[in-house]
Amino acid sequence: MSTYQKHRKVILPVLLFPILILLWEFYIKIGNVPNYLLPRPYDLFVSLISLFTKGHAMKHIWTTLKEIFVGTGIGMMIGLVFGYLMAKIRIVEKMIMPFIIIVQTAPKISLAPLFILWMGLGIESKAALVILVVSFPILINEVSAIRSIEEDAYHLMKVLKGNRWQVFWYIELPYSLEMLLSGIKLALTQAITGAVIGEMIGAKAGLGYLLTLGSETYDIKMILNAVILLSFIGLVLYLISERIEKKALYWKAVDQRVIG
Amino acid sequence: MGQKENDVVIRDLDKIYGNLLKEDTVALKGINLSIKKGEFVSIIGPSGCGKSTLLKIIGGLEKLSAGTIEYSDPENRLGFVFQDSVLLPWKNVRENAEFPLVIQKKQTKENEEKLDALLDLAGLKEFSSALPRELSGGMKSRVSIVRALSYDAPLLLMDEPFGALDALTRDHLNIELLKIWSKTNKTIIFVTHSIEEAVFLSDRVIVMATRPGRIREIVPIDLTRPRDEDSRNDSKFGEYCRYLREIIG
Repeated sequence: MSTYQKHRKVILPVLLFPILILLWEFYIKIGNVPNYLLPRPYDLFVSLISLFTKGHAMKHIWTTLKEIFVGTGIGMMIGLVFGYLMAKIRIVEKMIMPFIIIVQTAPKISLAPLFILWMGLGIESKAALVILVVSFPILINEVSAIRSIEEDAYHLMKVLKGNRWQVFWYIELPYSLEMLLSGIKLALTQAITGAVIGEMIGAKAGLGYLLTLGSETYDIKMILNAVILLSFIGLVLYLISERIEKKALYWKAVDQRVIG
Repeated sequence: MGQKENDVVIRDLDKIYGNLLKEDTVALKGINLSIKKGEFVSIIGPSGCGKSTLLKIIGGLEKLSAGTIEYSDPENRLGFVFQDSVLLPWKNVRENAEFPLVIQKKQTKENEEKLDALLDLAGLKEFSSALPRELSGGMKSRVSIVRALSYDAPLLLMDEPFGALDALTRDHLNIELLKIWSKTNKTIIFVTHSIEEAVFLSDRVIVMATRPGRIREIVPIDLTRPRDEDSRNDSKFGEYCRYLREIIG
């Protein structure tokens, strides 16, 4: 395979990028677009750099990342634990499910002001929103992951006289992790949305806060920079989770080789 | 025949599925059966005759409604081979076969060596590190058989283990199973819906009838051992098959 074919996935978009920048520049020239509506690519780039050097960009990025990670971590734990309990104990499912559905059908953005009133402008309210967004799909998937374990796997453990803990550790936990890892990409994407919505409603820092600040002060560059940074974070998290998924679920990889 | 020679003795076993709205379903009625140590017994019958249920009851996976089962092994150790091989997809061939030793915390050097010998016997040694997704159905069956043999259970219960395989692979695995059986001295109870398979493998074939599930006849198979491809050409082999087909109907 030639170098081009091998790296085609990277080379083609990289080639397109300067063309897009030129089109952008061209559009501003031709259309006489004023700077406060759409800055020139170069100006935007300079403002992005100065955001890092003077504007505490790292502080805002770190704030948003912290909300995403704390919220996703706790949200996954809650989803896993309650999903497991609901899958194992029907009465728990019957009891909790209606409430979960009521909370979930409310648009998340409508809950953001509540959380901010209750928990303040700090990380707590945003993390809570992320938890809410992340835990539900994990919970639903965990219920179906546990329920879809074949009965004979439990029979096998019974024949081997495995105890309750061993059934959990050797059978149920691996199947839960499989579900968790294949759901981690979706969870992280939703977590970013949750954190940004929370920050836009009320915060003291974070990229969502920059979005609101930019729109209130008519600072188009700040808005665009925040969008660029959020996309970048989203991309990096996506790539990391894809890597984790591939490594951890090695045994699932599609492979046509069959022995025997 | 003395009690001591038996590995499993089943007396007056009933299995009834209770139903609040309809009449109870009698799945098994009045099963009496003794299985000798080291014997290879097949259970055969039309679908719905309760042969798998009976095997699961013997294996302790389902409760009996009435009657008793006595096992010669005081610890009641047994191996169970399911129709789907039930391999853990994240463990390789050797780890799957070793799984019972892990669960029972018996990973001694002696047991590990025994396991390697079994893997060798089943032709799996060079595929030790292969994952289940890389294996064909026949290979998966072998792994699940080795897994059931890996710990010292004197009794091996097999629930249509080759039911999903093609005829050639099935015939081949039947011969290998007999080889393994002759080297390990296990008692095997084998559920199948193939008359040829039952005759080829067994010392006795237990024919069950349906509604309620009960034993219709026990047919001793008097073919010489060790059996191989040629045994199927034996005129007696054909007679047994014909006879069994007749009584099953």
